[in-house]
Amino acid sequence: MSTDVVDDREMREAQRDYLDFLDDDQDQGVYQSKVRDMISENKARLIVNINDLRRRNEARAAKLMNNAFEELLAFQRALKDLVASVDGTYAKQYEEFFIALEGSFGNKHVTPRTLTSRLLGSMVCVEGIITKCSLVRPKVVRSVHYCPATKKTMERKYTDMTSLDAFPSSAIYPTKDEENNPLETEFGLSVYKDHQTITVQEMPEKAPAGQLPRSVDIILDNDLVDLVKPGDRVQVVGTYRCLPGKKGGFTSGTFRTIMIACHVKQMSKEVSPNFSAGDVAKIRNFSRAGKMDVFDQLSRSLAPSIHGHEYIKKAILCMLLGGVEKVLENGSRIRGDINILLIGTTVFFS
Amino acid sequence: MPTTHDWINNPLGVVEGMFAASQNNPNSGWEAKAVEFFKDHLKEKEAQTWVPSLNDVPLHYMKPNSLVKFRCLIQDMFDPEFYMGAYEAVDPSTKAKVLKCGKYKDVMECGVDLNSKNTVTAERQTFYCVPIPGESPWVKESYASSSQARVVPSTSYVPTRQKRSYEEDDDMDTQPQPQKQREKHTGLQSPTEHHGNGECKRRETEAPSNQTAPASHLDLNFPLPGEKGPSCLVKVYAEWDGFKLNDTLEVYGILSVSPALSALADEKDVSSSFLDPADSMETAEEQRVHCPPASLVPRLHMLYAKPLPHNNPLLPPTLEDNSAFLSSTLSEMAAVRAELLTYFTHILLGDALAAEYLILHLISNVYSRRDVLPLGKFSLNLSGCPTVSSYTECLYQVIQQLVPSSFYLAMSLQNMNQMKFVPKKDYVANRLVSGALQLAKHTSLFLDEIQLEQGQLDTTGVHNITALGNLISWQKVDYDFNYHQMEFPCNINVLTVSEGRSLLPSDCQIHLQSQVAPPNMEEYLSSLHMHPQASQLNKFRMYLSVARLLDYSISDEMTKSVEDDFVDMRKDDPRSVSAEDLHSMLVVSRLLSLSLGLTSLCTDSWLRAKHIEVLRRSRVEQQKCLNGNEP
Repeated sequence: MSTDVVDDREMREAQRDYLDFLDDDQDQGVYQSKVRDMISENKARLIVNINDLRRRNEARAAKLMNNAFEELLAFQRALKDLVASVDGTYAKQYEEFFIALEGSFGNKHVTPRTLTSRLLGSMVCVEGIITKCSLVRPKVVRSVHYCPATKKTMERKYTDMTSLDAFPSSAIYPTKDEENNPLETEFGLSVYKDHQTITVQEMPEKAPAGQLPRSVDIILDNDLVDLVKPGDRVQVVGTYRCLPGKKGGFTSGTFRTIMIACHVKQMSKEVSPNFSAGDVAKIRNFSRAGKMDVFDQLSRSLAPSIHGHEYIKKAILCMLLGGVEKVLENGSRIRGDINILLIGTTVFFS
Repeated sequence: MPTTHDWINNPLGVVEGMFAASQNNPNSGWEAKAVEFFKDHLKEKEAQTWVPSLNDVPLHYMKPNSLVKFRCLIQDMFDPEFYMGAYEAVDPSTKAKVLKCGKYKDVMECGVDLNSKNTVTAERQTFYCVPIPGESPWVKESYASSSQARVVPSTSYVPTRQKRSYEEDDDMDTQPQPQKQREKHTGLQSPTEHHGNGECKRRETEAPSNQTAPASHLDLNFPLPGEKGPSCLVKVYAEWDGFKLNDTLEVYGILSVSPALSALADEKDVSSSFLDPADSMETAEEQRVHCPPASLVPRLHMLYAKPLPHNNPLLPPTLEDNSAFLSSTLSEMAAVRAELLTYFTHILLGDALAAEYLILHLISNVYSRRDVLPLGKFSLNLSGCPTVSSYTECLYQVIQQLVPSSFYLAMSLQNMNQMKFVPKKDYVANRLVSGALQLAKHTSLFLDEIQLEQGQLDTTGVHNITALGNLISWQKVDYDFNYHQMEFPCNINVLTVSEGRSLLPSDCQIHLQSQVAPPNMEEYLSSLHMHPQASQLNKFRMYLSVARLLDYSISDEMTKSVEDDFVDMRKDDPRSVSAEDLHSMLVVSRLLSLSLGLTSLCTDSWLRAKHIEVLRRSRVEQQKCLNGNEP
């Protein structure tokens, strides 16, 4: 019993810390405005950057990384309190509010191959390519039953190993109440959530040579469903959890592990480059240098180990730069980019 | 005190003893000690022959939880699984909590306390291993005859002469496959003689397995069609990153065939499956693949694995340790080579140059890779072969008798369009479906292009031809993973036999110029088989394997003289001599030196290599002139 009391106290302390962090009116008001945006867009998930949390409260951030389940639950409750204080009616619309994390994860940024047992129970960020997506199925969260005999309505909540609550409820769907009177389910009043499972495999270019790529199973709930399709390269942030083996006369003693996602980010191959201020200054200086023709200079810098072929290099440079498509008044289009055809013989290198 | 063979019959006893002893000392490292124990006992070659092998002995003869060995190829790697390394169980009689060891086992005993704080979770990796594809019958027989394992079948097996008896004995579950699986096991006849079972003369008749072959093999996922043998799920406890796909290993481990494993797979409540997230993740196909019944695919808990650099039972496992053997064989190599040359000359209808090239081809080996280029490969295209039907098959049989593993692929239209060449990942069942090109290293692939008919290749056919081309040119196979391809390097000797020039690329093409034109090919061919006796064949087999494994180097003066020679050659005839010619001449001279047992290049070998290359090229020129319009 005493452990329960201690846990409860810790939970409340965690919740207070998180509420403190989110309610940053005095500081910069970043998260306050984010919460208001979330309400106005009618969403239920708030994106929090773990680096900000680390700056404000390092101990709490470390606990969130290592003891993800309980901490995330406290965090979500804190968010719900904040939303309630901002807009009471909106808070009543959604049963739960969710936190999506992003930022730098340090040694918890892994691929399915490096996702080892020491990371069980912590918050991890897995990158990979999606190889399998199941169908989106509704899962019952709360069912409402009406008993015509006693004219009473009863509710039941369902949680399982994929939710953050520590105690999975009974999986039995009630069809009779205590006095064995049949129950009718009120489907309209019952609450469901969307549920999908995906498999993420490590990126083929990063897999070590000669080994088959490993994969990990991930569960997506609520608003995270259908954001990705097989073949996409993604970064998924979530908690890594171990599921108990089957019970029965024998048990195989082996466990399955899954990840419960809280945030999914697509990694597109073409990453837009980030230019620092120094970079931009250098680019400006280069373009203004009057002595030489910039176009000439750039074309000569292309493939510097190949001598000559200036005209070809200029053509390739034009292709790389591209242009803007022009639509004339009469409706005809002038293309923005060019194609190049190189004719000649190539020499085989042996 | 355990008796001498207790560690073979009851290895779990040894493991549990060490586990119990280590309970007082948490840092004892009992796991490493247990592995060392078995490694020490298996050091002598004699001890290794006491352990029964899954390749020779049928599964139902083996005692469960005994130490067995399995010579195999890693065909697939599954995701790692977590298991209970140590768990607490309540002893039903004394009601006391006992810490038990869960390593090397699949099934835990009853009364497990799942919430105990003393449970240790550990990780292990599963490999799906199949017997080495294309293993020649002489290799199988040789290994089987050298085994001294005493295997007594279980008492539930009643020896009679009727086929009916098989169905009464084994407690197979309700899969339709077991029938066919058992018939496959009875195919291995000879091992029963070696099992010291003097009392019962069991005559197991070989059941007709032809019509059942396709379905059962599909389930066991063998690369080559028509293969016999068990497959195994090997559970690896340490250093699993050291194993690559398609590695050949000899695994020593504890056999686990508990029927409880099948019970676990079947026990699935329909209503609970929707609410239990674990069940919804695995499809039915995945379940069937990852947890097949133990009678079909046994589990092997690996204690220790020996990588096999070669699969020749006549040679010691590693040549480097056996310097005496090496020096004695090297001195004889030139003589054996001459005999082999005469033998091949007869088979190739009197063409000595082609026979020489055939020897060079059979001892070739990819010894290194520079960027994308594999060095040392030497695929041969034997054109101008007689189109008499049995000639190529006979040639293949000759090769099969000499190399440890080989495969004959008739390039008929049906084969090209329908056979699976490239392994493909099946995401529904979460496994790698095998293909004919998933072969162990040093396998000889014999492509018979004479069987090519008129017709059209469909998409699969085109992919298969491309895959073969990639295999020959780059020694790699691109496995199909749906959204991307992964290339796996390989080391396969490809011999293409064709009428004219082959449509596949090759490193070396030689046109057969038969000196003998036998009126009756059948008679001529059947007389050839009488030629070599077993001892002669053994010498040839050892010669070919040793030559392939020798080290080779070129000294600096030789490099200089080769350079100068090449420069002279180019001066004389700049148009026809190119850098590629230098590369092929270096390869030929390397193989020539190795075939004579010399480990470094000498001037004689270089000059001889030049000479035979010139002869070969002149033949190809002649051929071009004869076939006027051919490209």
